[in-house]
Amino acid sequence: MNYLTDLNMKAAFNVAQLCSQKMVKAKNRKKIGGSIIHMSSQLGRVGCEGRNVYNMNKFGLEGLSRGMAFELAQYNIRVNTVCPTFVETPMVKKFFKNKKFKNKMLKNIPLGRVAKESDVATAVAFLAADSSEMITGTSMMVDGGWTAQ
Amino acid sequence: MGIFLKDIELKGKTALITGATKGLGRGAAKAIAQVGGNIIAVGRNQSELNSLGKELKKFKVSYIPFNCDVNDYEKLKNFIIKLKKIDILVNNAGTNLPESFLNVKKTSMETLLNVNTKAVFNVAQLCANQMIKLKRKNCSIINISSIFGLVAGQKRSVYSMTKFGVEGLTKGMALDLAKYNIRVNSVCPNIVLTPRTKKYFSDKKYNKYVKENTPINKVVTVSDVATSITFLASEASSMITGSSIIIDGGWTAK
Repeated sequence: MNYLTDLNMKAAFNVAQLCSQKMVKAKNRKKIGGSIIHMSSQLGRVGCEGRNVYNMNKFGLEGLSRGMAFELAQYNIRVNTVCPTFVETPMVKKFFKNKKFKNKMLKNIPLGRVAKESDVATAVAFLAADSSEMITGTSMMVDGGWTAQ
Repeated sequence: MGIFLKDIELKGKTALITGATKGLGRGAAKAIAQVGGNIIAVGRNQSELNSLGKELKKFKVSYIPFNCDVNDYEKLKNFIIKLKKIDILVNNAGTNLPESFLNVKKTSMETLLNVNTKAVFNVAQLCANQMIKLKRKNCSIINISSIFGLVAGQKRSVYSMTKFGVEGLTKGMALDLAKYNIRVNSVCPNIVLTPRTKKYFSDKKYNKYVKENTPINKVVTVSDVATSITFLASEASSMITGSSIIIDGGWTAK
């Protein structure tokens, strides 16, 4: 619990604060804008068995993101999260060695497949670019419909 | 047929309440005792623990005070694993140190995460394990969250991080504990007038901010919240789990 919370919450906060403090120093920040993207999860929006600490951490990150968006708006710095479902990463491959777990999780994804790394990366890039200049304090769900049910 | 509100009673049930001597915790202790529930009060101030005991005497329930800081894991654990009865947890102890995001001190960030997140988790886990070990029936855990577990507020970025976290924990616990018939919910009050928030309300600007954001033009009271806690603790809510009761005069409905 301590390991996960220190990494997923405390470190996430520290990095976000340090970067924001640097970003607001730019004199033309209001004009050029800024974008902060937190890597959250669909489990920042809904519960999942065996994931209660991760739930606590990622819901927490969603809260931090809203609070930051609120306070950094005056500097034209936008703050959003990306909430993927299970993504084909080494970490998830390890979880999915448990076939029962894998099948159970896949059943929860209406699209019936896990996300690719590129699915998430494009969402991040969209939020980083000015294509999303009026989007702040929100979460982009990349979850194949998991949380829509 | 289920039970009706007027029939709510918690006779024979035992509730452990953290942060029990002040504010919402004290309100919950009185409300639960009023309907017959026994109280185990965890708090850090011995004279306030004693005065709560005196206040509860008229309800003729058993009262066990325990002087302990929720950050002291070992002391908590040694106490909870020896409990003979526990059916209800009001996971209430919490704090806030409002600072604007760019100026949040590392020490205050750590304090809030330790009390509002880590200790809340630890207390919940210790109590749930003990409920299962004792084979108690129909248990209920109520985590005290906040409207800032659902939306953001001025100078509340860390508080929101901790309270959104409590909302996540609530849902995760509800799923994992459903098979033991332990229900887990949260209550999300607006800013309640308590000893801790008194100083916020003395600031005129803050007072105005709260009023303007609350469609029902009044401040939430301790008893408003205690009523919801008692409802969630009782069998009147036996099919409610993984959810939140929002007591905010419409703040988050806008």
